[in-house]
Amino acid sequence: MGLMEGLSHWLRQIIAVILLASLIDMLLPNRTMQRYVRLVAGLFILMTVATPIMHWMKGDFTTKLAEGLDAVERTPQEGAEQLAMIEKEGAKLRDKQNIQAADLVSARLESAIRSEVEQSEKRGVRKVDVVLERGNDGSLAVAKVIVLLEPEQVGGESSRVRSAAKEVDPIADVDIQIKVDSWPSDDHEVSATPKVEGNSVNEKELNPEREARLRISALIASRFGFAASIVEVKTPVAADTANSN
Amino acid sequence: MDILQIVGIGFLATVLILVIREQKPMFAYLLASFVGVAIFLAFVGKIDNVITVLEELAARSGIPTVYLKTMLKIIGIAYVAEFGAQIVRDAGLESIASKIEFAGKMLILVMAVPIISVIVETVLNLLPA
Repeated sequence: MGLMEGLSHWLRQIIAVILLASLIDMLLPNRTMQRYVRLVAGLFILMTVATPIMHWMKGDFTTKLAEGLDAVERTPQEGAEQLAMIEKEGAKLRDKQNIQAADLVSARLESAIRSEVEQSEKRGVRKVDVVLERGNDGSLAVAKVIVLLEPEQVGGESSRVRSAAKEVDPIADVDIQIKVDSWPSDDHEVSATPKVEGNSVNEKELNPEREARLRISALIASRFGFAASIVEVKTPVAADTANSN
Repeated sequence: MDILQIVGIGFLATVLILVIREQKPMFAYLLASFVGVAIFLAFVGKIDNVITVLEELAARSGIPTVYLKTMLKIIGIAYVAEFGAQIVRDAGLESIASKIEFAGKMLILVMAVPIISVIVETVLNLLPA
């Protein structure tokens, strides 16, 4: 029974393929393509006739054939699609890596600037911001450096840095007194000295902050090779006003 | 009914083209190609019925769908290549038309390659080593 069923299936297949081939032969536009189409149709008929032998020789040739035909069809398009996908992934990874590199660079620079300022100025640095900018050719450049100093408090948290900074003032006072002592005879001079002293005190009260800022920005600019215009040193007061704006 | 319309359009176009060709051969060619494209597009949809019948036949008799798909692709390639080649031939460029036909033939033969490879493999296995 199984044999008869298989035989009838086979015959039906042959008839169907021959019908298909003749219909397609009819559908053809004209004679130029006819030979080629007939070749393919003949191959199909041959394969259908030889199906039992093929099944006997090796298992599933139909799927293999289907795979082969699909491969012929799809190779170029799929290749292009895959290439585009891979390139997109690559671009994404490259961007990620660039961002990571920029973060790393700015973190390193920030810590280097912080330690430099702390060492040379002997005062605390609250925050260092390094803003990087990507140029047209994809290279990174430092666009801005913002240094936010710790406020200089007289009696607040006592750190060695501050006490060292405080020691500078008494020395300056002593220096002035030496000046006063050097001209003891002249009353006019003596009366003038307090004026000088007052001026210097005023300057000291107004300017140290600004001087320190200028000094720090010059130091950073020279040490790290930035343009001085992109280095900005702020004290917390200035930062507060900036925030309120 | 349809065929009368098509033949009428064809006659009309032919007369127009014959008249125009004396003055402006370029427009005559354009008109010819447009009429050709219009007729082709208007009736290429009718082939749908034939393909449905073919698919039914394939499904009933249990022949692999790969066969039918490949055959239909071959038909499509043949039609498109032929159509393009004829339009180019109308313009008098026989050489380009034959190149288009050549491309169509090559694509059809490429379709045949997997079939040939399967058959050749089987035959080689059939022979005693």
